[in-house]
Amino acid sequence: MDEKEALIQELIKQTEDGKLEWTHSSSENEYALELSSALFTISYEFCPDYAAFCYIVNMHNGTGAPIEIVREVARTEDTCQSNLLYRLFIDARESCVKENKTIREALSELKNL
Amino acid sequence: MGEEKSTISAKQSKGRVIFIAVGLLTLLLLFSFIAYKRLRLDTFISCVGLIVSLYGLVVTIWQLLLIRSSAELTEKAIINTSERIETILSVSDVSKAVALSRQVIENLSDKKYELARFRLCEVKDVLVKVLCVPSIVCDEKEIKRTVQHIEVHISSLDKQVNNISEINLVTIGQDIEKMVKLLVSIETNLRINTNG
Repeated sequence: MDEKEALIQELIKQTEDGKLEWTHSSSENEYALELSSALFTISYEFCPDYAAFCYIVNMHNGTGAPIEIVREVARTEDTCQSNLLYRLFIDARESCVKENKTIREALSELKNL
Repeated sequence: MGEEKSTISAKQSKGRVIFIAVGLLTLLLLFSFIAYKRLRLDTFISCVGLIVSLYGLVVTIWQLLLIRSSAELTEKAIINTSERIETILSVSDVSKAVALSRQVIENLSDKKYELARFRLCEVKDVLVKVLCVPSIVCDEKEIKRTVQHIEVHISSLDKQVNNISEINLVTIGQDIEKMVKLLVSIETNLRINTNG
């Protein structure tokens, strides 16, 4: 396992444990994570080079242009197990929007009425 | 600067007074010695020669030390001046960055994304420059963080310009407002330092 893959897996693990807080980026379908060493973004966007939608993780360390860490083409059969970046994107969105958490809380609130 | 100049000239005039006083005192002592010992002419001339040479040597060493201290003071004055110039230039740069940031907000609301991107790059350049000037006291961590955010926004504007993805105007607007606050605080600190 190379360093980049290790980084992605660590990001997934820490996000799922709720230790990392992703925020909305200035682009649609993009989430940002601020660490003291660098700022990471994960986006779901159309890549003209692949003529397909891709998941892209970029790193911004303030020294110039963003550094692309990894890029993967999104597939229709993507699941959390098959594609790391898909999983990270879903986790980042959940960390930012808290959709599932809010639904669960609302559901339990409704049940306790 | 003016204070250092007056220190140098005070030292020089003090030196002149001591030079004349010591010279007169030596001559007085020399003539008293000659009158007391009743020396022959050739001995008298070699005595005068020896004393004048020693006196010249002492004066030369003393002048060299004086020149060295003057050079040190001048160097200090040059460093102070260049730091002051750096600060004054930085104040104008930061003021320009504040104005540019406001223009970015205007450009975004007018959907002039390419212009907004160009101006945001200029703001980023100013912030990177601020980080490189050692005489500017500022929150380095906060500036680095802002630079990273600007990079993300520039990349988002690129995507918007190339029709890859839509820009989130609310997020970018809020971030630029925060950036303006940071720039204004840097500008205020710089102005205080320049005037102080």
